[in-house]
Amino acid sequence: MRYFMTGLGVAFGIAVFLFLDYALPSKQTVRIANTYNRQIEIGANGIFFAADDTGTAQNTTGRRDVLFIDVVRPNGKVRVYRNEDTGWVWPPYFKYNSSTLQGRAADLVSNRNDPLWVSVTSYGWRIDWLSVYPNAVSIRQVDGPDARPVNWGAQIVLVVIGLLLVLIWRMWNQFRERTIDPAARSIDQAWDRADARADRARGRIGRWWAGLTGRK
Amino acid sequence: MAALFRLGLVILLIEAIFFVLIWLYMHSTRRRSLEREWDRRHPDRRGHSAERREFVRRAMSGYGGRIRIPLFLLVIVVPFVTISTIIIFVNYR
Repeated sequence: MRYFMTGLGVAFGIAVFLFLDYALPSKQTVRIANTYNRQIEIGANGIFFAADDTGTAQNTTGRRDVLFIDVVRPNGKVRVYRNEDTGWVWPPYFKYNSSTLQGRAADLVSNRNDPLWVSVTSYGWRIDWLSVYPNAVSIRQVDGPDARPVNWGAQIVLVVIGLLLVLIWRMWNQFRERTIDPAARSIDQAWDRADARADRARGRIGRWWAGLTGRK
Repeated sequence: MAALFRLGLVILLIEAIFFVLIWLYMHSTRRRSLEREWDRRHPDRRGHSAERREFVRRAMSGYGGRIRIPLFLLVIVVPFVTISTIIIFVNYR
């Protein structure tokens, strides 16, 4: 049983970590190579794309027009971001300036001989075989490939989550102290009283039986 | 537009839950501090008693009314400010 609960706890921790890793923003210093839009098929990987109501046209067969931004990292590897508006509910980025962002990205395109380095803030994963792309949230020009701006968004969100957990923990402690413990104590006391009554009853019956059989 | 309503509904639900939780929590901590105050004032009569319960009951009357408005504002203002800040930082930076 203990191994099961430990396993469950570990699985829960991994799930929470994956969830945060997906939803929290991250910054990468890259060089933008190309910006374009393309129709793609949204199938089983739909969970990694924006919801239907964010304004991008989608025809009946599930093909959607999505804006893309190709970037090259300082180590030469290529990465592809999508640039979609987020829905109003999740993830709570409230991003609706994808066209403006695409324009800004197009303005910052450079080639490898004359690179222009930018910092792209994004969330999500790049999973090649599922055609899943991270969503670029904002782009800002930086000085060089070694610039690493601080990821304020993720830090603030983590601090807020920490504070919420502390608050919930204190609430739970208070609830346990005021409600559960007294209830458990009264249950214990009721059980003790029932036990004592049973003992007395046993004593009475014992004396009656002894009187009946002549023993004193 | 429908998505905006959905957002409003989700936030309203979450804030209602937080309102109730914080309400209960504040009442509970106030009761505990009142009991401690009674024990401090009457060290010879500390512990559970009808008098202490009456003292706490009288001191707590009106507490809910006093904290209702500030708590209400808190659970309305916090998400509003947060969402506005996010929107400004994401879209207009």
